Amino acid sequence: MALTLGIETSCDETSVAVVQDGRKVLSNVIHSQVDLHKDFGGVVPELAARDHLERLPSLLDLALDNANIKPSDLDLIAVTRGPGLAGCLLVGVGVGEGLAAAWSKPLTGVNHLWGHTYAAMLAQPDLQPPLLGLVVSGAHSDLVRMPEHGRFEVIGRTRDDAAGEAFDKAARMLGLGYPGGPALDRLARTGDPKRRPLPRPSLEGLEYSFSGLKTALLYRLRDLGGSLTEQDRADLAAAFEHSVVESLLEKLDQALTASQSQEGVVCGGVAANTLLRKRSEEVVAGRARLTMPPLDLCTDNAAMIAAAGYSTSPLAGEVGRSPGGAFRPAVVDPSLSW
Amino acid sequence: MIFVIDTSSAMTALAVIDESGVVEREEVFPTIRNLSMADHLRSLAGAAMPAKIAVATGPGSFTGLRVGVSFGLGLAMGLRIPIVPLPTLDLQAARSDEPATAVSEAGRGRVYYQLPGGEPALGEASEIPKTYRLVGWVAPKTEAALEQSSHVLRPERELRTFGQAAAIVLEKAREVPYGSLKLEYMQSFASKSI
Ligand SMILES: [Zn+2]
Repeated sequence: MALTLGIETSCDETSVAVVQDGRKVLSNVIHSQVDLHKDFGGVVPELAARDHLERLPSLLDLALDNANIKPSDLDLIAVTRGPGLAGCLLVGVGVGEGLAAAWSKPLTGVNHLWGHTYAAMLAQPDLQPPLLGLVVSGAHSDLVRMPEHGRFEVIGRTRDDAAGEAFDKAARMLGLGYPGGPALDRLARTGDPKRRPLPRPSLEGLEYSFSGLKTALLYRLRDLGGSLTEQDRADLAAAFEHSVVESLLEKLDQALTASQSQEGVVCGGVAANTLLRKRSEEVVAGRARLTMPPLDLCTDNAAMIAAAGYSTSPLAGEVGRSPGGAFRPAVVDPSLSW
Repeated sequence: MIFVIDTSSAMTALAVIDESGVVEREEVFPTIRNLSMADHLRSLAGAAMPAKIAVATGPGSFTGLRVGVSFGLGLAMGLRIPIVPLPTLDLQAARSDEPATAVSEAGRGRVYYQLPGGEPALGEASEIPKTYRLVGWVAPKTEAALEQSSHVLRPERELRTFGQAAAIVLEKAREVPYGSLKLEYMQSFASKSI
């Protein structure tokens, strides 16, 4: 049995988790900074970094308590190394390095995108690569292929906005609050996507683009002007959501056909979207097994980082062989540098 | 032993100080990327175990500041020992045996500065009062800008070492709960217009 401590601070969620054997979540505590950034209408990197530093201590205690373990029981520390907000990442990596030195534990850096994909492994105990994943969040709309643990190939991505970013911007145009994604999801449930349809972006190959769709929504709102009713807003939210979701799934469908993969994963913050979850089932059904992490593992969290770290770390061979004693050499992943 | 870490300015400074304030060892070198704080501190400390960690909390360079403070916090939390914040400009002021204006690098041509007995401020080289000579570590470009504005930076050889200054500041410094360690930025965040 190996225990991994995960640390995630790449954006506006601070999280610490303990995961057993890369599969079983023993604890996963998450602090969302939504309230901190609400008034700014978006994440303020400096405030986020400061908050990570202030939250990590109590989250660490809570994660160890909830998992009912002591630091000495740990085998590995995994921390998000990127992509993300540089200043925020530094806090997680720095604290991770300090803990690794204090406890003489190996420390590994984890790609955040891989983390989202590994969230699916926490949800489906027998899920193994090869798999095909759609990682959708505020920062990503990526189609990834994972032929084996620790190998990722991005086979499709967005040319401009990420899907979550598009949702946030559309929500802002529709006068919804921050964060926009969940608000747009709720409003769309009361609308009809066919009443005021928006174009569905479609590029060659496996690329995405959402900026044209955003402009289309802007013009539609401008045309309606003062006559815009509540129902119009709901209909437009539904139409926007429909276009984004169908565009995402069209490429996932193409990629599934091309790769013949038996395992499909839809993950990342946007995978919490109601329509995307429903339509993913319909599109993937019968072609491959679909795994979507539960909602609390879709948004940024440290359990997925621990899972990814455990399964992909170049230090995997060091697990269980830490020298012991405080402030002795800990093995640190050489890619973890600032 | 008290381990002191300052990565808030153009130089990275580490010191190992004993409980009575005697500086056992110290190291000051230009701040570089790809630095393993743990390796440096370990080679400096030898077999010594820290009983307390002190970190410079700024104001200073965003990136550097976070590297040292978060590493120090992780180390202190991991070892369950106290953490003590040390204001960057107090550390520099303590290096001078006469009243001096402490400065540190703020980036983009600006400087954090603090007059004797005053509060930290942020400004261009030309905005700093010329009442006192300066003490502190800034980037070469910033140093040139300060000299251009006829400021005088006190030469290193006239100053106390970093470790000696840290020992002085430590006398009055108090430990804080792990979750109350604050980075000093002094930048304001204007609400983004939508
Ligand atoms: Zn994410």
